[in-house]
Amino acid sequence: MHAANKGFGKVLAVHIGVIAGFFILQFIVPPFHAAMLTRIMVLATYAIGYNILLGYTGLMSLGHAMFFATGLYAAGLSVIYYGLPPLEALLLAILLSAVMSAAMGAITLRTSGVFFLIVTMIFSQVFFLTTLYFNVITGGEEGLVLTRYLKPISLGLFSVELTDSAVKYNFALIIFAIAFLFSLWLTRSPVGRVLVAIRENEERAEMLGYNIYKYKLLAFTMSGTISGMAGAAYALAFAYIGSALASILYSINPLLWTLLGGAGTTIGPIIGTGLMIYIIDFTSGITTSYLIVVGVTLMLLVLAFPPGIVGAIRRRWLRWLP
Amino acid sequence: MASVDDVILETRALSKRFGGLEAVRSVDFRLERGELRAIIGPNGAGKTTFVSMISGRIRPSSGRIIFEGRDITRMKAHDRAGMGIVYTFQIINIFRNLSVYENVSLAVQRRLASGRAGIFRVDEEELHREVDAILKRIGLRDAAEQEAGSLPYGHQRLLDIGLALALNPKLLILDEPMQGLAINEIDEVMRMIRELHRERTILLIEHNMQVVLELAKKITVMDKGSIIAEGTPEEIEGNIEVQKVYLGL
Repeated sequence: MHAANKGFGKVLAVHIGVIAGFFILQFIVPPFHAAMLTRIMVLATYAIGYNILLGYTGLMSLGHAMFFATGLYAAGLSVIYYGLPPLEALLLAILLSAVMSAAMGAITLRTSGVFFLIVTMIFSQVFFLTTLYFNVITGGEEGLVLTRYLKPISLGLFSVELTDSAVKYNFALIIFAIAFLFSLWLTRSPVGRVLVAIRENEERAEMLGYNIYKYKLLAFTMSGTISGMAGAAYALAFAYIGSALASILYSINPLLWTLLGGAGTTIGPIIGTGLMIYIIDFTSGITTSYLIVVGVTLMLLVLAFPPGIVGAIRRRWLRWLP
Repeated sequence: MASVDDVILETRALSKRFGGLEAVRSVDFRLERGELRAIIGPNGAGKTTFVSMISGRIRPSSGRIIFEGRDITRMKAHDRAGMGIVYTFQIINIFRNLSVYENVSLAVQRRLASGRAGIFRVDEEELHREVDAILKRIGLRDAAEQEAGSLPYGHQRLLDIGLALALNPKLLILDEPMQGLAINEIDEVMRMIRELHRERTILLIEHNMQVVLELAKKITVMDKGSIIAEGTPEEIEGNIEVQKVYLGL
């Protein structure tokens, strides 16, 4: 077999290792950090979804909060108003996110470059304002708490409560693992290779006979669906939905996490998300103007590692990392 | 008159206007299957615009393009590539940041993965075999793992042609493949073009007259958007009109 396949054992080991690492950490770290890690796993899932579009297809969206929030509201509202059990709410949210991102992709992908950035942002802002406008239903900025509506998850013989922090942790871990392994599969699949080709040289890819629009739409839909899945997991694990999670900040966040960790690497978005969340937590404990510290740290990190942390590691040492 | 089967490509009154400039003026052109045709002409004659309309990179303002008896005037570039019309760019156009192997495999994958399921699964063994065969043919097997952008210029050109070759085209359009090559590299690319010609129709745009006269059996001369002459190399060499265009007489 070709060299790229020879190293797959190593690649798979690293990825399984990351998942196993998260699994083991819950038995080691104190509760505070376990809660932090739960949050990191859910948001890293969002970054993984974002990275499919930015890192592997080369399209920068500023509107992914729309998909994160689609999943968030689909799961949250269906739990509150229709009494859906968590897993059914999750599936519904994934489905709706897929539909939403396919529709949005079909519209926004007619533009490119800066225009794509702006058009995605505008649609996302429309979505954000809609959640505010219908605050009677959504709870608007204040949001809604799901806690008393959340039914237990039934697993055959026994059932578990999402309010239990250990259940939360492992629920987040499963969601994360699905997205993480999916992104690994994608990078090695024929479709993933074409996406990279589009990122590297769209014109050439088209002249090789690839239908660029279709591939981009597929990438956009996969990216939006995973982002929506993360949003749904957020609503279910933290029992809260609110408009702030649909705001532009939540479109910028996955961009920062992905760039910091390394766009176009499977592990980068996780490192980026984890690091940012810990930096924010650490600095906000010291000073109220912590965003300045965060900003300076980010700038220094990006100057030191232009391709992101994992991107730099891959360039210098581990060329086989996907 | 040649039967439909013999004519692989035909254009009828094909024109392209860019604002006030008429880059290609009502060109009627016929190419027979198995030909190696050269298109020559001074800079700005409309050669690249003409073949770009054939490959689908540029939409014509008017006129029709017929490939294997089918009107493809409105067909998208990627579908034309799928049908067997493959274009190599005037400026080397490869995936510079990907390895030589990855470059070729993208082209081979396109050919192997037909149908809807093909975008999710290809036969990796077959893919590897075919990529290896192409690499051998363009002489870049030892450079397979190298980043394409780091190859010497001549090798990049070979890779570029290799990508086209990997698609197994019916009609291969080469837009100034000798541009910027050293003499020994020109020989190598010429050898390759000859070899490719054994299996397929080639449309070659080229400035290097020596190359054109050596390779082509028939030459089409364009000037100011129109075809001004067409014939064997001997006929073209003796053509007064052509001499005027080239020598400014």
